[in-house]
Amino acid sequence: MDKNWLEKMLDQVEKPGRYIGKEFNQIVKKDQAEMIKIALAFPDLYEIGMSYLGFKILYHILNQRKDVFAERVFSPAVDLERLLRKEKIPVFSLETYRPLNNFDLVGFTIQHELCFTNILNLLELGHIPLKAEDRDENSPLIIAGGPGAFNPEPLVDFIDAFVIGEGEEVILEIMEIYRQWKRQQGKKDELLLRLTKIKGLYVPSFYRVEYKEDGRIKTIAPTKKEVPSQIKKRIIKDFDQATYPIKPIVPNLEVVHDRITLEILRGCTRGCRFCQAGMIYRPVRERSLIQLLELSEKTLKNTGYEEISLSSLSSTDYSQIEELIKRMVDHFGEKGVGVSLPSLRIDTFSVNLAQQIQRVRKVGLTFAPEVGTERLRRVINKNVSEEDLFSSLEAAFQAGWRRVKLYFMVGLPTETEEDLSGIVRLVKKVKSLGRKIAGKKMEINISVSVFVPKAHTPFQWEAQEKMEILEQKLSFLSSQLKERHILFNYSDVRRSFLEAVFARGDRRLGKVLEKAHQLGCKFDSWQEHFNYENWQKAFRDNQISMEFYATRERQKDEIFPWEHISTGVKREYLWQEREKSKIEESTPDCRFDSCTSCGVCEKGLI
Amino acid sequence: MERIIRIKYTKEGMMKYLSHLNLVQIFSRAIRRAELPVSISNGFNPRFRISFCPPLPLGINSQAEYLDIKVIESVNLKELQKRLNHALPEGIKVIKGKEIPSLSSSLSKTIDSALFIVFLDLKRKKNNQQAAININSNQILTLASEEQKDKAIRKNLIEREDNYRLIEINQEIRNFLQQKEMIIEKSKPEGVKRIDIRPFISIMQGLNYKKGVLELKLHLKIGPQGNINPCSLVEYWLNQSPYQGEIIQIYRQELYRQGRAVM
Repeated sequence: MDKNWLEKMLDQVEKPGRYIGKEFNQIVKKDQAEMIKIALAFPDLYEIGMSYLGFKILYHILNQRKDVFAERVFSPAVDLERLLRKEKIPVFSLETYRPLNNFDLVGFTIQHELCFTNILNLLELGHIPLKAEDRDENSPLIIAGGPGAFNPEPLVDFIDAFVIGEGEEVILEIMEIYRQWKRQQGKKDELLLRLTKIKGLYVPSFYRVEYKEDGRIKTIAPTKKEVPSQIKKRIIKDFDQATYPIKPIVPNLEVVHDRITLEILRGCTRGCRFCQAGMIYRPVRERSLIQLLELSEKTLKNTGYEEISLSSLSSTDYSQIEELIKRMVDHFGEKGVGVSLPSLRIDTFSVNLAQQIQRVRKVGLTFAPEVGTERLRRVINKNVSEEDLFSSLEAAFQAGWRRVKLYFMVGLPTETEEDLSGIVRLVKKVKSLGRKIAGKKMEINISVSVFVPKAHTPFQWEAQEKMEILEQKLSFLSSQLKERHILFNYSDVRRSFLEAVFARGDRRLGKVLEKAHQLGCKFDSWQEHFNYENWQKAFRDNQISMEFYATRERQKDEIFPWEHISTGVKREYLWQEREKSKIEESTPDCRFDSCTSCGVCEKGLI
Repeated sequence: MERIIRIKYTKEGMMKYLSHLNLVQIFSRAIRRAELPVSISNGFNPRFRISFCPPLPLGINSQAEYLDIKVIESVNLKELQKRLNHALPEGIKVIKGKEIPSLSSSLSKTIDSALFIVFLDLKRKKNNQQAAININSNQILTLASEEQKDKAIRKNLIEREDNYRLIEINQEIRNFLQQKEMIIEKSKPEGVKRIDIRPFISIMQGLNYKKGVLELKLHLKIGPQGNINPCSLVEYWLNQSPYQGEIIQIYRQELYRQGRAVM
């Protein structure tokens, strides 16, 4: 009788349930010859990774194929990492406990910039050489996709190929190319070249970047004739019929979003100028009502979940949202299954919808006024008025809600003291409104984040505000809002600064990432693991200025590191939006007004 | 008419790494998947009316977990077992079920003891080679191989040695149990808590010793003031004993009420 290596480790770690797999609907396949083995790697903990719909969609699509074998790998927490390193055991998949370096391909999901070091760490823990140039055809092919891949440049040293845009179709095209190549026992370079033939695939080793003396980019150009100079993002043509995972894995332990995520529409054209998702997921596409009811019925049967979240960037914009909610609540309510909306548009219509939902399960209310004044709201093109906000909140308090959550952002372009005191004034007004209607048991949850200029947005030219000023602004808010009934949360300024560096970073940051990884940086989005001093050292050692990337305003014609990556939204449109922000002019949503000529619907993309 | 179905199930293999809290969620979802007519509570966050036996510590297998399920109509027990097993993850399995009177008192209130079997990799500590019963297997084996090459005898001798060891271990355990008090320290959020574990031990006895592995039987009380984790007891004993050991596997074999197995 002996104890196996896995149990020996699991006996010593916190929450061992993260690493065991064996959830309901998990797919375990036999390893047969000719089978392509791909690890879907999520560079964060199980509880985070298992909350993302995109990750589940890919798992589902890949495993539907008889000749593909897709398994999950997550970042181990630091306690397990220590044991894996000590025993020299590679990080493993949850399905068959297969070492990461034993797969043909590893596909990373990149959600945001602060998971970059975890990607490097997972490669290392998987006993895979970190750098693409150190890997040949005997190492797994490392690919990556997700919203974080829209500026892939800081990661090009480590990733062989990036998927730009929606993955549902392209992932199978990659499998096909890989299969042909594997059968012919080709070299890695041949595979990479063939991958460039797939639309939406970016193989960074075929591009050369040259810099000006001042550090800005001079040119980005392919090194081979047959490689495209622009990589256009992939879009699912028929979103209504796009694969949806009706048999998703049901986690055995609590994860962050532990419910059915029903994606009712994709894309958003509200046009908030700071919002990257609003630009990169265009155009707006909806799933039909019939399809949604059918998908939720099937998924409920297959999972036993007690809640369906109607998910999208702005769910109350779904054209038949009232009808959808009514039908769902009528149909599922008696079974004790609730329906939820992730966040609400600021209007009474949305509050009424939330009330419908409330019939089955209690739901929280979240609004995002973003800023404190109407002026700044016009700058960022958040087209809601204070009047809307107060009438919505009044309706909510009257309908019985006692807790509301409000999101704000500081450090936006043109922000003044007046805008900041505007937040204070607004919150206090909400509080007195709440006290008047709801009485003492009322609570307002305020969450303030720091503006991070992102690639592919109208604000991609903007400087992030200096850290000292941001600190002052946050401490001003926190001192002004230190009151009963108000819960105040805000993000770490240093983390937002680092995020801003990588959000618009270029290839030269690869060596910084490698250094930071060597210094032990990981889980940077977790407050308890974030180590800013090590990051500063990593930049200093490479003589790279963080300010150059984060707090520098770009000129109109500056070539961006992501210039060769196309979301379909034209650069001229983004610039025009930026100019309009300066004169506080709003741009309406093209669904309810005229076309804004952003470019995404033009030929070639859809 | 509401009725209560009591089921007995196992939790083994990797499932031993899931907590009691996880189990509540797993059963709720399995019940929904199995489409069983289970009663639902009122209120803002409706839940199934199910109640569990005392929680099993993380990392321990079980052959005997219990769950009471309140159903709103009569159900066929075989059908319920089949459907639930189809809906449960691998490693959790319903082995039987029966209807109990609806006024029965709850599992968590009436269960008063648990039987554990611990498999323990056990050796004498290096600095404590002096055995309680003086026997040296090498000497015997050397003699045996010189005089008699018969394999059966060698095997017999090894078995005999294992039996001697078991006697010796049980002697150690008996001495250990003479203590009136066994204080262990548990670190809790509010500080270190000192607990006397002696009153919880009903039986502690080695059943078998083979190839260096001790099969240890522990019958432990579960009271209103809580229970103790068999690992804590084993560790506490090992610290005082002339042995060093590593727990290989623990099984909760049965739960009892006033000396009788629940089901």
